[in-house]
Amino acid sequence: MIKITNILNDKKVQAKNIQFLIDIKSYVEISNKILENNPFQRKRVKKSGSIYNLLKEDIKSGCIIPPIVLASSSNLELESDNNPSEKDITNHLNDYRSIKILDGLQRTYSIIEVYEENSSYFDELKDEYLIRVELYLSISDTGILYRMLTLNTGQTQMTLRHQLEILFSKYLDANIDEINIIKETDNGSISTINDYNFSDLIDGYNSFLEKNELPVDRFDILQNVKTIKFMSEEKNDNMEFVDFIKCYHSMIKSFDQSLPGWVYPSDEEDVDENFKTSSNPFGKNLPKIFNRSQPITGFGAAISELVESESIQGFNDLNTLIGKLVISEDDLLLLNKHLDDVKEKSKKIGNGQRIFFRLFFKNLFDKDGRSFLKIEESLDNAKKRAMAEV
Amino acid sequence: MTNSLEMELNTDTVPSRYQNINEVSTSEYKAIKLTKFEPDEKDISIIYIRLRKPSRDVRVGWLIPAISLISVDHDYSEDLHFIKYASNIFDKYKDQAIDERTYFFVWFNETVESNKINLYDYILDFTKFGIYPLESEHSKYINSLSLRVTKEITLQKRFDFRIFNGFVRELYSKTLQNETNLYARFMQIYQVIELSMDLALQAKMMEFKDSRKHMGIIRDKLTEYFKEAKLIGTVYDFTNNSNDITNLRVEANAKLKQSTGKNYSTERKEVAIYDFRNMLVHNYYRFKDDVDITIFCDHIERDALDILTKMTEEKYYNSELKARYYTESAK
Repeated sequence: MIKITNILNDKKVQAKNIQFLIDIKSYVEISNKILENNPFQRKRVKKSGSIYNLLKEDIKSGCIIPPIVLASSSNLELESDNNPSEKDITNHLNDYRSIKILDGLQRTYSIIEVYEENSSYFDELKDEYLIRVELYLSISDTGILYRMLTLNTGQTQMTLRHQLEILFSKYLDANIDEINIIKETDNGSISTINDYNFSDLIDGYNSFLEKNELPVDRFDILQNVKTIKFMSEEKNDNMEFVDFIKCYHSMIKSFDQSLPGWVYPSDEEDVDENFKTSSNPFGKNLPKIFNRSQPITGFGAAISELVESESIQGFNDLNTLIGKLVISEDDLLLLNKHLDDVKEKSKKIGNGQRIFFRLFFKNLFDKDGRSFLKIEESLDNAKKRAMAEV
Repeated sequence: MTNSLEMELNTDTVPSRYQNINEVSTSEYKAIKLTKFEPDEKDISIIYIRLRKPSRDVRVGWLIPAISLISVDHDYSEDLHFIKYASNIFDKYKDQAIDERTYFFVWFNETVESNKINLYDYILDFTKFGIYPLESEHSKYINSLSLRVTKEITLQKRFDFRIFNGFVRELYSKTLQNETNLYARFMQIYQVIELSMDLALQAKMMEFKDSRKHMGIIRDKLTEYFKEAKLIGTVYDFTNNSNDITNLRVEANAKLKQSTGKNYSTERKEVAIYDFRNMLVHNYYRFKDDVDITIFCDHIERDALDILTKMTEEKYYNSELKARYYTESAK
């Protein structure tokens, strides 16, 4: 049973917010399907312990719990253009692959558990146990992310990265134009410049939002607030996850067009003395250099800084600049050499490499910088600064 | 809010290739934790023990920094042997909060037992690399003379510090890791020199007694050894003279020469150490802002280890150490 109680337009995220009541059995059916279809949303908070047990007891006693907030990115049409009906809600809820739980994940687990442990009790109640739900209809990914951040701040501590995984899980094992987004983390599956690891792309977009190329596993409320502020600014339109991926990919393609099928010389003797590395080169071909977390996160953090300093307006601006790059083979040898030096100095190699790439991309695309669009100079400057920072 | 140096080894943080326990049971591997102030994921090393009679090097295991277990960026990420040892560590310490400064020394038990090796006799050799035993707190100090960890390390036999009670035990289980006040650090390490000088005097007396020389000769010669400057020379005969002491000489010439009149470029190392110690004791408040104690601290830390190592190997000294400083169970 579903009964709409209120419909409002959320002008911030440009979506309808429908408040409705639903019986516990129907909610459990739908939420089980939502959770099964989203691998990143599956986990129960480990330390829930007595608080959620108490909640289960309260639900059984008829306690009213705060509304669960859902979001639907489904493209289903509404029966009427004016206001959604109960049937519209049912149709949207049944398109469970398009539904995300924005707020109330742990409460949902409690509801599922208490119902399944006491199903006959709830089914035989004279007055059905009702749950209040808010559903955002036809909300964009950015809108969902914004709402997730603002609703989750201060509550169950979920990192931005985790929220991004949940939000963009639909791109797992999917394609965007010629780009293949791969679920497996084994580097052996990245064989062309079109192949990207889902986790690396999430890292990259996370770095873009947080302006930080280094992995941060802990929830940081201040960082969350800064990210919310960044996202809420209007000038940051057209900076969606897909735009980010396409922009990065266009940069890799420009390298590939200039140096098609480039590989690192197999014989060390063929490498100029100035470019010789003391250990294995970072990347012996383009995918091994660029289709990895370190350059993607460095790129994300760099672009974010350039947007903030208004050196570039967004990804469209960047695409124009990428078209102007002049790339030579020595650039890739120099890049490997510098990364080797950074590796030698770094105590955490991956972090050192991320810092290097952030500095490289920032130098390369900073219109006000002296090494603007000059790859060799940008590499040299990045190395100098990175060696001082690691 | 978690400590910013804390990390966790779990299925999310550790690359999947390090999570497989295949052929060998994890009980066949053992591990202990060590600590280093500035951990480096490249500090991965295969560890050998040098045995005597017959002389040979036995490969026993690996030194693996905790932070290298959450990275595939180092040179060993595809090394099958490393992966096996890393997997064992993951199995043992999974889901535990671990300080980033943790280093694991993990070994194959059968090799150690069949060769009758007490690995704790060798642990202190890691201090040459700035890696200390982890008994209570993690290291807050880095010795400027620390060697770089190489791909292979052959550990020299030292001594099991756990058989000592009191001061020596405290030095290697707590002081070297935690003492960052350089004055206090120098003085505490110098206690080993003092202790050694005491033993050296006793040893000299025994030597003269055994020589059965004329009492007059003994009296004259022994009197010299009542001077600390002489005794410290005897003690320093136990140290490794191959260590470069250029920086020590330079600092000593800069800060001590004016008051002592000595040229430390030509004097033996312990002359500088002894004069520096006297300056700290008698004139610290005149010189404290002008002297870099670090160099002296770091040198005597190395020297103290060499001195104690040699003493535990020499019959007379070892018996004296045992009688005075070992725990009851070790006696």
